[in-house]
Amino acid sequence: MWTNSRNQTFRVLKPWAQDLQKYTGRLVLGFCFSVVALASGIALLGFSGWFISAAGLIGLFGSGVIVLNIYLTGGAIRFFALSRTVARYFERLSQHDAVLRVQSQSRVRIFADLRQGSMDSMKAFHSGSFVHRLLQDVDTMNGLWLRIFSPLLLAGLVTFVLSLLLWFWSPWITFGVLGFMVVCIATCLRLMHSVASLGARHHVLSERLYRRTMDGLAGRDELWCWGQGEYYFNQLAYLRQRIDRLHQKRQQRVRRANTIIQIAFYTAFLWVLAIMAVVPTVELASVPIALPDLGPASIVMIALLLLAVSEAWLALPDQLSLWGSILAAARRTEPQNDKQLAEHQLSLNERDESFEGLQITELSIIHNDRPVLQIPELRVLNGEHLAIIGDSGAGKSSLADALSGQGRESKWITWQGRSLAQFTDADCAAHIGYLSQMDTVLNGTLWDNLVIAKRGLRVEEANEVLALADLSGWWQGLPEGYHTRLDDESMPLSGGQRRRLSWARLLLRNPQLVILDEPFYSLDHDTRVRLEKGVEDWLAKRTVISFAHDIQAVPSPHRALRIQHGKLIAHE
Amino acid sequence: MRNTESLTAEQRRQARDFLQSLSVEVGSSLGWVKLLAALVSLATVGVMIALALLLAGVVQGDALEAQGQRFFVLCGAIGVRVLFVWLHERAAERLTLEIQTTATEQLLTHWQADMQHSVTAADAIKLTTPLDALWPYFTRYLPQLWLSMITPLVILALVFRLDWIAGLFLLLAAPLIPTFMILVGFAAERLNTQHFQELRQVSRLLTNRISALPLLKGLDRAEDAQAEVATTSEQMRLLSMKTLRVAFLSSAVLEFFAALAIAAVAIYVGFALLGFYTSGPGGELTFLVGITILLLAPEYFQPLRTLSQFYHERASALGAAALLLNPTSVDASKERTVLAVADREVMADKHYEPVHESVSNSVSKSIRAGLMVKSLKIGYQQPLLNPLSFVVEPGQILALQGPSGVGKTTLLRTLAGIIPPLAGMCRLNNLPVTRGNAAYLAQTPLVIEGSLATNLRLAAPHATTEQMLQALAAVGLNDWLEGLPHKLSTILKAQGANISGGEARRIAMARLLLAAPKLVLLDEPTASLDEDVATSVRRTIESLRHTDRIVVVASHDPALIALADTQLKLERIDVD
Repeated sequence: MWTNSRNQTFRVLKPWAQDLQKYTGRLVLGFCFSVVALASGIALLGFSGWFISAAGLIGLFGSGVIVLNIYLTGGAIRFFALSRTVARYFERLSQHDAVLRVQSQSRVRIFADLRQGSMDSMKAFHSGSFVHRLLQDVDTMNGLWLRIFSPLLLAGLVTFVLSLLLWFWSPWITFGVLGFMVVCIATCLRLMHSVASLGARHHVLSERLYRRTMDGLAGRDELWCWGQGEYYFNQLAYLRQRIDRLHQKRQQRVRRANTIIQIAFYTAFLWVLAIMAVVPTVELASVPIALPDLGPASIVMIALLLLAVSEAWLALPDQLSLWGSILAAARRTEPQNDKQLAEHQLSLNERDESFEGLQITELSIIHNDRPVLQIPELRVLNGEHLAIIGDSGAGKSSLADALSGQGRESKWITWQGRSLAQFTDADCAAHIGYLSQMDTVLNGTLWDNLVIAKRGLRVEEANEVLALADLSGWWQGLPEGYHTRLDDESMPLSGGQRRRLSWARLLLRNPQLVILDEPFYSLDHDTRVRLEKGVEDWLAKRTVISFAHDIQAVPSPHRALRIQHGKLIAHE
Repeated sequence: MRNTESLTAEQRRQARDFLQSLSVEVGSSLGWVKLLAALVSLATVGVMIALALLLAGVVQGDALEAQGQRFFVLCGAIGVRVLFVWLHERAAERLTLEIQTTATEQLLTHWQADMQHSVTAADAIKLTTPLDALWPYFTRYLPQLWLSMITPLVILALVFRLDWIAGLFLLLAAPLIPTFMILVGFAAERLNTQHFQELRQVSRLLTNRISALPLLKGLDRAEDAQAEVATTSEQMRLLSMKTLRVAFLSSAVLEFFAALAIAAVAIYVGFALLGFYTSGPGGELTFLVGITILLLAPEYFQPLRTLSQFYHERASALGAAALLLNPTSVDASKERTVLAVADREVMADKHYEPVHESVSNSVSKSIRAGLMVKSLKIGYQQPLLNPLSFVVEPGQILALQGPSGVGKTTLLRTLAGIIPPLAGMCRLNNLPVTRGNAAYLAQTPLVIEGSLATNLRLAAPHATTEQMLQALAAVGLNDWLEGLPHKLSTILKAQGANISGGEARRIAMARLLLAAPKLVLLDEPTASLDEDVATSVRRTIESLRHTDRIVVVASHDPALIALADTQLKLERIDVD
């Protein structure tokens, strides 16, 4: 739905760019102030460095080594201190003034666009939230210049000009600085690309959350009466959690970009320092590059100049992370955006694919041409633990098979909005952990039996899951430890040990959906209690559906259903 | 930022308390973030000292071995700093997630637990925008505040050890900065409050003109409105600029003192190295000390500069917190004031007689089946009505009458068990009313985003397709359903945006038929429906009677009241 094609990005930003264009003069003025402010900051540090190094040299070696006009240099330092402050103040004022003018212009443009819409589409304006969001979007678009274009241009321009000036001392310094700049720009563009898609998803989920919260709050009393309140609000909590995770992802991208830029900067910085300050002292003809012959004062100055430049780049990733929200805002405010109108128009032509969690619709389990279990609809929330209780032959295991993605009926089940029929084997393995009633022991060593559940298994992990599955006593007693062969002849396993081995394999994996068919089958009471305790934490984070003949035989669920006469009813 | 300007002192205090309690709850993560921020700061100082050593070596013309060593020390220091920055940002991400999860949980629990305070759909915004604005306060502002106290102290101590005159420069510059910032900040605040009313008016006008666009267009006045939008926007810009001009001064002051102090330190160090000072520490100042001080001076001001950038994070977090705490809906106290107004109107109208006593005569303790209400006092903290006693038998319909605001809705919610009664008792078949026994349909029918089947199954999770079709037919929706392309899988939009009010009401009635609760409580079920729909709703209510349900309905609809077996006229509590 939200594709990130470059053309589309240009198209949605075009009207905003045109608004900016009308105030080019003012924007350029503000930009000039920011150039002056940054350049003054760089010069202040550079001159100070030069001044004290020159003074130091004279102090050490006498006045013959270097020409230093104290009053000129001191004056320059004072001047740059002042010019930086003044330029920074006027930069902020003129940038904001220009952007507010652009904003004012954009408001009028959007109003004019809205006017052109049909009467029908205008009905949406009656909802306060629509208008509120629209105006908020216009506010967000301020960032297009202030947080994206202007800082990027500024950092690029100042770095480029400075690197050219440094050519005067040595081209090798310039190469270092330019290399740094190229890495930074590439990193920034990549960051922008990834936050753009995150921003779009964030927006879709936020809107969904908002709509559903409105429903839930408006109908809170009725939901309460039907006993659905907790269920519904839990669903909202999970939706919110997905949004938070997206946000975290965005922060992670920013952190990655930050780290790359820092490493690039310090590499360039150390490179320049090395060729200026360390390598020249090596009296070797083998150094292949023409090294600069710099005075010590210049070296100190260049080092400080570079430090000052880094400030412009290090702040960038954080500012650029707004790009996602800006693009989303631009898309929403697109004139006559079909999607925007469709959202507020009457439409009864969609199917519900947005449920988070597990959903079963119109599923029947048929044994010998006779339907044994029919489920018109069943929903399990992300993170919910559901128990389904039923007698043997009630269709439990068939349902468990279907839920694992292996059954005939899997096509009637969706997980996170995707039908299980579309799941490849790899998808099933990644998403679903199924503990069936069949405990399999592979012919091979104990290690072979564990490593099939996880590639690159480490011994500590194996120890840990065996302990959780209450098998540590057993395997430590094995003659060859992990290398013991578990063949039926040499080392027959009891039913309970097989069950626990299946558990250990399950615990090695990281599925979000866990299907347990008679999880504690063939275990004595004490073992069961220990195992239940061991797997508690692992289960807590996941969606769990357990099947058993008796409510006592499953880990304590949030909700329990019973199969009776081929239907699911609440367990009393 | 615009959020906070409108807060009263009381709201500000509450918002601050809320943020405070939240920060206590995430204490350990916050501690990590603060610790790592401090480590980053210390690592920066380390990098600067390593760099100073290397540069001093350059100036003194030291030998290769020494320089090579210093170079690797610098590499190491930089490596440590990059690592700490990375760790710090990662800790901040975790803290963010924790803040958002905690706040979500609190909000949702509050919504579910506190049924006394009514909420409206407008509260939904709380779960999105304000929750997204909370985290920067914790991950940025609070650690930076802490940092701006310790980093300058560390650097100051270091510089004082190296050279006390340079230390004095920094020390003198430091207190000046907050002083001036506060002075300028006060001016900006005053200006803000001055402009606030105007600013709010123009922004309201803007919102209003967009909402009114259909009307304006119908009257052919959209052109004028557009001109109005243009002038209003311009006004907004001028007002904002007036405030910004002063507000930016405060950061300019900070910049100015920072730049001035760096310049002063540089010049002092330069002159000392040239041998201008013979007495005091300046006389023995070495180049190494000089360059170290110069490199540390900007770092001394950096935390404060960053803090001033993050200052608005605090403002927006306060705004968000106030929004989260703000009860946008009617709470009990407000409801009473509304009622007091309604009451005066009723006093004139002698039509409403106190009937609770006559009804109470019919209460017989021998009745086991049915709804029995005895000396029931309802309200939120204070009773709204005189104690009520009545009995409704299965298959009977009780109509509640009374002026709007008298407490009909409160009575229905109390009977449903949503809110507890103040006193008295309410029993259904001689048992307390429990969830699942009673169904309360509010004035606006419940519609959730999702399929029609999902909406129906809210009441009966295991209803089959046939049962649902039957129920829809019973409420007269079969023709409508025939016209839907996806039948029961049709998606209903949030707030029932793609169906009519009549359809929503009838879906709610169908739900009632599917769930079969013993007690049915209806709040104005036929209000604002056209006659055909109202008739079918009344027919459905009538049909409930034949299945031995107990129906209590609050209504002004004479046709519906006529159906009732008993009528109960409610009057407000005697005020004396």
